[in-house]
Amino acid sequence: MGEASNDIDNTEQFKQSFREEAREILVDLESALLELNKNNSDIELVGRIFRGLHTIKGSGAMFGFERMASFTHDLETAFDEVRNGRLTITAELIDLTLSALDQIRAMLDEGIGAAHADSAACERILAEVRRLARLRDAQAPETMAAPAPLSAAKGIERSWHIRFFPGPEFLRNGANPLLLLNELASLGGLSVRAVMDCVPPLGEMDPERCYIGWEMVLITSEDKDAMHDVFIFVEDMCELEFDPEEISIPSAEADAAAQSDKVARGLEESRSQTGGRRSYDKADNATSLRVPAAKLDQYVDLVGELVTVQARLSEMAVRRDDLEISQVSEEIERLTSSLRENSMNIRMLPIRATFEKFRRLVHDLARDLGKDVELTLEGADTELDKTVIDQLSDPLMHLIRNSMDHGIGTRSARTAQGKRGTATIHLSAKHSGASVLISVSDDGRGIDAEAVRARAIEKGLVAAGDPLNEQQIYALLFQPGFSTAKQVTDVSGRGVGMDVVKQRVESLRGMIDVASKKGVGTTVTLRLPLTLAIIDGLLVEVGEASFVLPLANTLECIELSEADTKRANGKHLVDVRGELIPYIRLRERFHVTGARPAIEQIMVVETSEGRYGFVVDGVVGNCQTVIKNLGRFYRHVQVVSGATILGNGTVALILDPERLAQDAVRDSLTRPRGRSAGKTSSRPRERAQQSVQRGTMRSGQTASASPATNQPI
Amino acid sequence: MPVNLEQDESSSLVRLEGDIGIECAAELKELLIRGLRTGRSMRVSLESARELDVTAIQLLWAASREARAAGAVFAFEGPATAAVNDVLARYGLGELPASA
Repeated sequence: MGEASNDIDNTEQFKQSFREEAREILVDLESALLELNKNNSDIELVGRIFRGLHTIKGSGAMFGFERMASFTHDLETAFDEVRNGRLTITAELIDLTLSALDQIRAMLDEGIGAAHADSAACERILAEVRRLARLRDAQAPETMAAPAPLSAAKGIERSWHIRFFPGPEFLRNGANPLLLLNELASLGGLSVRAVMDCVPPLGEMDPERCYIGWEMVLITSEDKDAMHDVFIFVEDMCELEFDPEEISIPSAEADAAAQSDKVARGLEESRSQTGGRRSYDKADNATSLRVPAAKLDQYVDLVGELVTVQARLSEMAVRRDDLEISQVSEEIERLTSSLRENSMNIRMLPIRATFEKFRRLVHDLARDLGKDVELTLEGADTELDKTVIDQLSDPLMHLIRNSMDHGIGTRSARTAQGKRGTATIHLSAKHSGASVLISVSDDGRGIDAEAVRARAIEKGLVAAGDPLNEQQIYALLFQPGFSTAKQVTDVSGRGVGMDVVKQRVESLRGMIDVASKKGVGTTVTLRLPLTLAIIDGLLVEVGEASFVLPLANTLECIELSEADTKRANGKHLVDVRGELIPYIRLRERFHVTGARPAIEQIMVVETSEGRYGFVVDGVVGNCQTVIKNLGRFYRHVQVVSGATILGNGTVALILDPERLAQDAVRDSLTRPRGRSAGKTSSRPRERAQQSVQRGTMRSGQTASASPATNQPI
Repeated sequence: MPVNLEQDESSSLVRLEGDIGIECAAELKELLIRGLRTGRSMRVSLESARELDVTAIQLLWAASREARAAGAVFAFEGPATAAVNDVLARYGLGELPASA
């Protein structure tokens, strides 16, 4: 039956949105618990934790996560005891609750087959929590005798009028009013009156819509937030009002009478309007929407397609030389451009959630390693493309683990060195042009460059006599061979997949910088592009082939004549207003056949290796570029970050100027002197040295070695 | 099915069994309409009902209102289970209208 399957979809959709909300609550709970660990007398935090657990329990039960609800029940009780001053917060309780949160998370994911809660672990946690609660019982007589210290946290009892009118989709979305009423009743003394005035004649009833509303009086010491939390998952689907009764509690009857008058009037008013609009129908009620990420991805894909089609239209307009088509085409181009920016903005998320997640990691690791570490955050509101954020979690985790494992010493070791006993790991994010810089700093031992070098020689990664500067040595840490090292020295154990960090960051078209000072600390900075899906590019031509250079790094375009080439004495260098700039001729780099035009163009691009020129036959113009993956077959081709489909249907490779420049620098370093007739020719060694000293590691070892690189598509 | 209609010329009996939830709502509505159309009296048996959800309650409530308006008899047959009464109380309904 079509409708039935619709219901199932709706319920599943509702469950999904519960999952999402619950995950957010779990993150919040985690940070609250960790803060509480530092400051265990903070009553606000205890309240926040209690409410979070309470919401997970109540709403969990409502959406069919019964196991989760019953599991959470005991935890909630424990925190209620804490709130009432009958149980003291201990590190043990916090750790237990943290591991309980992990199980709850697993239970959430069980439905989608992503994880399984460990029943034995759940039992163990519950047994422990109950044991702690029993300890409380044993102490009860004395604590009970004294006025509970934390109970002041609970407000004085007051009475609230609550109006709750479910909206049309309420029941179909799987919500159950009875559970909400029960939950409200758990907050204090509740009297409920059903309002039946809206129930239509039987024949006109939509059997799956809730027509009953409720007027309630709740006498409770909880604040409005607690009541609000009861409805947190359904507030978009119902009309809800909480009115505090200012002074004393009036007699229930008078109250109910006054209320029913008010309701009757309200209903009369709403009925007199067409369709009886309620507040949940109002547009201004929805200030934000929860949209599944997959839908957003689809949206961006569609915008991408549109951009491609628009490029075709522009191309056609130019070819036809028709004024009318040109006008329409230009307008569409403007709109597409705004749409594109808009769709990119929608995908931008603050990195906070990812950062906050690491509080737990740091807490757990610090406990396991017997170290004292504090995590500080900066710029957590910095926004990044969702895709980037999703893929950032792993590399950051590896970096933090490394810092904690190897960078930071034990409290005693630190104090012996005259450092503060508590170490700090600082996570920061900030924008820098079209990139985002994310860094992980610690105030630990710093990297022992000599130890790394020795290890690399032992591993055969470098030869004993190789002249390596500090940056080149740090780069070795990210070599695949290095990470498997056994813990021989402080640094060589940095083996939690630093090469994985590098791979991941590079797959995001990012770079890693390492700065370290022995005895002072280490900072690893990831430089990542703001977005991954569509960029502004500059379309250039070399013979028959087209390439796209990212506009963000392109500085200027200058001519290169035959005479200039001759003046440079065969060297690939050009004098730009007194500055010598090395260049790469794309024709040679990509083996494009055909004769060179008399006057070529040099695109001057800013790279981490300094300014580099890319010589092309001609510049076609700006283009919005939808980046398409080249696919697995070309995954080793690193000088190309993707491809795009042009208006005329041909494919243009999107160049990665960073990689091209780095390849060129490495070639100039590794190639023996005198062998300059190769594809990229020679570059001044000083220049290369200088750029290596800038300390950017992004060696795409496989790129130049892979024959695929040299294949023009 | 948890929802059944038994009819003779003058009366109809709607029998609710087990948990009556949203999945039965459309059917319950049809049965109640059919029941009201034919009989001069309508009885609803809740003896074997465990739980009524809000959709069932509002349908029964509307049916009883219509029966009364048409001058027909609308009654609940036999005692409702404790669970049903408990649910009604928690919904703030006291008891079902026109309870026999």
